[in-house]
Amino acid sequence: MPKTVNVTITYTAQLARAAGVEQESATAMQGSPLTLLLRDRAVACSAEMKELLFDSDDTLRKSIVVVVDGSQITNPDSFSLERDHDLFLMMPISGG
Amino acid sequence: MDIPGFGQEGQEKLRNTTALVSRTGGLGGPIALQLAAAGIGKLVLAHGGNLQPSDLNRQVLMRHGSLGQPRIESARETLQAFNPHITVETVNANINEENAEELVGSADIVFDAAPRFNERFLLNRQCVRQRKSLIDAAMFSMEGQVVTIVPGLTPCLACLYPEEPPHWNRRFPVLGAVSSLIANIAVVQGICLLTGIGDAHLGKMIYIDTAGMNLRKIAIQRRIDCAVCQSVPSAAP
Ligand SMILES: [Zn+2]
Repeated sequence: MPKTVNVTITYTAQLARAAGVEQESATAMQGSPLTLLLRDRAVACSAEMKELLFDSDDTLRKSIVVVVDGSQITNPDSFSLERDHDLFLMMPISGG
Repeated sequence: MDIPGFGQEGQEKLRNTTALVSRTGGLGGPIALQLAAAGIGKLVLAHGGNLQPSDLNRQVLMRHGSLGQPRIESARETLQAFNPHITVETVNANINEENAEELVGSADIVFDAAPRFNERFLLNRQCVRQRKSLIDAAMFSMEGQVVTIVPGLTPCLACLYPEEPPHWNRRFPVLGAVSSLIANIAVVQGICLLTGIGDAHLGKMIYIDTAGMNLRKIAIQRRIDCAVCQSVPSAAP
């Protein structure tokens, strides 16, 4: 029987503003793709969040830096979620 | 500077270094100021436009009396008054397709503090092409980040952001204390890289959220299909 796992998601910059929180806990199926969780969270959150994270083809924007347990993930579509993963979603920033 | 491992040799290295600073505003201004304080030999500063009242909440090289005048002149005057022993060369223009190659070519190390991604990507391309080290500093509201890019050794800016972010606005929330903090971290990283003291955090992004005073060191990845740096052979650290 598939197991669920709890993960933590932290948002930066405009993502935190759109989410209304800087950090939240989420539940996902163990081994499910990271992108699937992000799509679910974005839809549940707001149209703005969906627009910030996903392009018109419903693909996670390449400019979003996805970090898991302190390391950047360059293949979020094929990355599988496990228990207690610490997800850090970074909006690109360029202010000076 | 009486810092272990720095000594006369470290000071000489700084004195023999030319640093290009892209923009001299909230980030680039304090970057240039601390490089001047550390005794960098030569600063090359690029920043276009005239000083606006809204600049003065963060641009510490500027002076109220210079409103309406070229920003780069205020920057030069403040830096030369602060340290007359360094050379300050100024360009009254932002980094662009016409000047990027020459400006990067004139420097030993580059500090990027531009608010627009097209300028940052242009500088990244030139630095990778000319194998120049690039310290990329950025901030938004109470957050900021610094990435040290050494072509061949680390990911480049296009590895981090393979496409231009569609949602970045030219206007962004800024607190001068945050931009100065991020600028100072950028200078520390640059000095570590130049002199060998401390840890230059190659392959890492230093991220700070000052609202919660949280600091993260994030391992960033070189993309084998990076449009900018894929042709640069990996060098041993
Ligand atoms: Zn690259």
